Amino acid sequence: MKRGLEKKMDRILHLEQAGKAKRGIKNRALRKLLANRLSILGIIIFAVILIMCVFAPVFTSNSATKVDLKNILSPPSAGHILGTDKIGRDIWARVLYGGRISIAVGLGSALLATLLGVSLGTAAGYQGGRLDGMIMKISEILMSFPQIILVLMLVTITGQSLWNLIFIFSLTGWPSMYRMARSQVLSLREAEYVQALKAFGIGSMRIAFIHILPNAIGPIFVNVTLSTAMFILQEASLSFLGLGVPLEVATWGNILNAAQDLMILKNSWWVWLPTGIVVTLFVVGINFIGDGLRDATDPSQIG
Amino acid sequence: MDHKTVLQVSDLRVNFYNNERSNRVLRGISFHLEKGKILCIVGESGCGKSVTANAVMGLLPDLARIEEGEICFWQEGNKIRIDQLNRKGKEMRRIRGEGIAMIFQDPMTALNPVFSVGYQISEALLYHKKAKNKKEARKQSIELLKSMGIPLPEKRVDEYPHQFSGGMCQRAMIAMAMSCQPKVLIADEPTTALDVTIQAQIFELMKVLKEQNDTAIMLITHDMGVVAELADEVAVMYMGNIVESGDARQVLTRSAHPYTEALLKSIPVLGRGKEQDLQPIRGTTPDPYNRPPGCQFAPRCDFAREKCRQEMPPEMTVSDEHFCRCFYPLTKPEVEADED
Amino acid sequence: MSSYIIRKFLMLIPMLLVISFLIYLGMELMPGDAVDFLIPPDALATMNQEQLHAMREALGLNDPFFLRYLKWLWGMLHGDFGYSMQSGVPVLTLMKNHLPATIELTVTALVMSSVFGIILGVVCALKKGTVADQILSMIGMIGVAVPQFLLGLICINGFSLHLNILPVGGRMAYAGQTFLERLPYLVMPAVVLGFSLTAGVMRYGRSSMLDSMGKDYMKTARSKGIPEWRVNFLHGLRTAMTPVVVLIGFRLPMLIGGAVVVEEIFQWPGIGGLFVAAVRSQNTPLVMIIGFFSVLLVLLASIIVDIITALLDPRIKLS
Repeated sequence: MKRGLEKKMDRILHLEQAGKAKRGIKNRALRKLLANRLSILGIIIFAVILIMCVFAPVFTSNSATKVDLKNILSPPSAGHILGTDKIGRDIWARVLYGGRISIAVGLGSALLATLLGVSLGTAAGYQGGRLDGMIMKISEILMSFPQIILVLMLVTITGQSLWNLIFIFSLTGWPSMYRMARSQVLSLREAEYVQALKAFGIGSMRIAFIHILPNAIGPIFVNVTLSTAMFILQEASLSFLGLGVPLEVATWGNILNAAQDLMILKNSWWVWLPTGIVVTLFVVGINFIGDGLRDATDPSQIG
Repeated sequence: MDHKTVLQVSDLRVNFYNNERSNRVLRGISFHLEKGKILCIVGESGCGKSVTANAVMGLLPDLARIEEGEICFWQEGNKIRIDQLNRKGKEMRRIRGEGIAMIFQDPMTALNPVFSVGYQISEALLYHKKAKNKKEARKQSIELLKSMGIPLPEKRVDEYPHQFSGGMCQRAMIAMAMSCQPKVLIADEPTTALDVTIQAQIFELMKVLKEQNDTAIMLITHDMGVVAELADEVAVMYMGNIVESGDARQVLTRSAHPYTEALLKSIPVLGRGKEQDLQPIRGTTPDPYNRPPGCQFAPRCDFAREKCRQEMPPEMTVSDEHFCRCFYPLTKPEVEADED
Repeated sequence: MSSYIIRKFLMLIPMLLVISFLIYLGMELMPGDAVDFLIPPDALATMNQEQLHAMREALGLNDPFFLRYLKWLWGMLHGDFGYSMQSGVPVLTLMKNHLPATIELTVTALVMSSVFGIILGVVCALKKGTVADQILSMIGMIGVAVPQFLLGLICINGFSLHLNILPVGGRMAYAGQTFLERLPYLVMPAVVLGFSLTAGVMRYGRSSMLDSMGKDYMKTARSKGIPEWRVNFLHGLRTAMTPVVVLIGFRLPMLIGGAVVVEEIFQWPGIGGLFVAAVRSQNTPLVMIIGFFSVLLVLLASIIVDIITALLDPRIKLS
């Protein structure tokens, strides 16, 4: 390794002496761009999958629900790009239409949980006092439950349905958003411009929501993307077990449910593997976007 | 070389390589350290003072290299060329701590927070075989803390850095540095992070080290007040060169280089009142990647002439113990230098 | 140190009380009668309405809610968890039979992930920028995105169904097998369960180690002339461990939650599989009680993590 460094230093020295040195500044921008390359990739993956699912009829002429018992478990072919499942439904169509639901569940729960968590975090974090303490305790309790177990406990009580699932996800997901928003508010609360606003007599909630919150938007956005990814994975896991979205509705997890059958697992890879890859790709894409956002908004990285 | 010289740096040139650019941080500096004397290296941030210290200790980062020059260290009569040693090798490691020790600017971050102070001192003792086992090392650590003026050393030795105050932490670090009785102590801005009153105590401590242990001290600072207080000899650095060096009293009272003069004039002096004539040095230090040709101080110098902007002045003798790098020194040299 | 531990345990109690209250509330919300799971089912089948009513009275089911809750709590503390609505087996027996398997699985996954994650993270940090670092980082990013069950499916498909080198699942209920005999069954579930934790620990360990290596005390340590390996590992790694251990503590709920899915796929006879079966058959009391136990596991594990953190970083204990 030492040899390599020596050579590198010699090279730079010769370049400089020959007058061919590059500007040093370019490198910082280069570094940022490189990080952004992954986020751009993430955005592309995310957008492609999203568009294909939302505009599903454009990308497939088959129906996601039509049963065709003459064509069960047929491998990929011209008519069925990803083959058919065990009651003859076209897998490709199911992936596209199912994606709509999975993404909706993931995004919807993330947004709802964010709405709830951030509002509580901002209000309670700014006010402090007993209310804050109480909500904090509640969030602690909720966070000690493994999320999937808490979700299933609630599902047992309320029954399985799409909307139930979204609500339950939001109910179990707000604590982490709450914590994050609260810590942001706590650190910004002592800023000088806040003192100035208070001196002007501006109301607390107005200060909290209109003046403090926008400054904390960066981490919130990052968390929204990461929560979406988390909820999509959770929905997939639950539906895979048959305990998430009811099986009649196509979702990515529900398609994967078929893989519980070992025969299908072994012999009909087209039923589950492509769907699994789509889910993984989508989540990877979201993670890239989240990482990129984090790099872009992290104050320690700027400048 | 007389037997009092313990460290000699000659024409040291160091380059830093970052982001595909090379930065010539040290451009040929020379100085020497003598036993029982304090040399202050003074200059603004970015002039290369810390890099000099790191080069001597062999602690330069991986992407930095000594291009030319010599660093000679005398230990028990042997002359060792530090610049030629493998930085991570056994010989260099033996010198560190036992031959040359270093203390740093912020004592609170310079000590590892998860180990007790006693442990960190013992570590040095055990590795340099100054103590046979942990018990002995601990006893020695307590003695060291006591000698540095830390009260209740038996209790303090097991405590952690965050339980010490800033000044006590610095004393502990000095104790750690002196634990193996090094010939040279390098202090990189040791009091910058401390209160002024604590500063004075640390300086007292250094004077004691100098006088009682005959330690050669290289003190790096940006504060001329410190120089006035402690230095036997001083080297003024600017942008990688030593622009003036020599006996402290001479340099301070009869400064030869315009930069030294400008530095002295820009510092407020306690007692002179608020009507003091403070003259900040105009301009700013140049971009290290875009340096002016010739004398680096020329753009900001009130006395600069054409020759200054074209070539870097060589070292000129002002008097027996007083040197400076300037074509037109402020103090008339006793011995006329060559003008070419 | 001991006062720290006692404090942690004491703080546990109010939380467990509140959770147990919520659990009981959950059970109450289900349609059906508590008497159904407080009485052995064979007795239930033979009684008539009057006897059942007398039972209810005797069991205090007509008492106010809060009193019933306290009685239930009292029973719980004595190990009386009632009976499973489905099988009639006392819940306590079910737990005794299934809990050890889950502990074995989760502890194995936890230890494996922590050790591998830290080693890989340190390697990446020390070799920052090299090809190995970049490849591992990419694997790490994918590792946190792959759904756990998908990984399990791929492993089963690959290693069991096609390559036939590992059994497909169905480790026998905890009885009479030595650890070595159980090992082939343990490998895949533990790896799958711990995979995303390993990836997370590796990423975080890398950044924590890089952070630590740039700190001032590293320079001080080098200036004392001690060997490079000691500087990197004793001073660098040791200090970098603390945030990583804290991270592992945060991820504990996810680990135990993951056990639910993994046990189901690999037919591992632990409480996770029990839980899924209970949810499927709407066996509410069992669902709630297993849920309670999962929280208990998480909280206990968290205390252990807190103790380890305090051991690693003396600043925490004394603050």
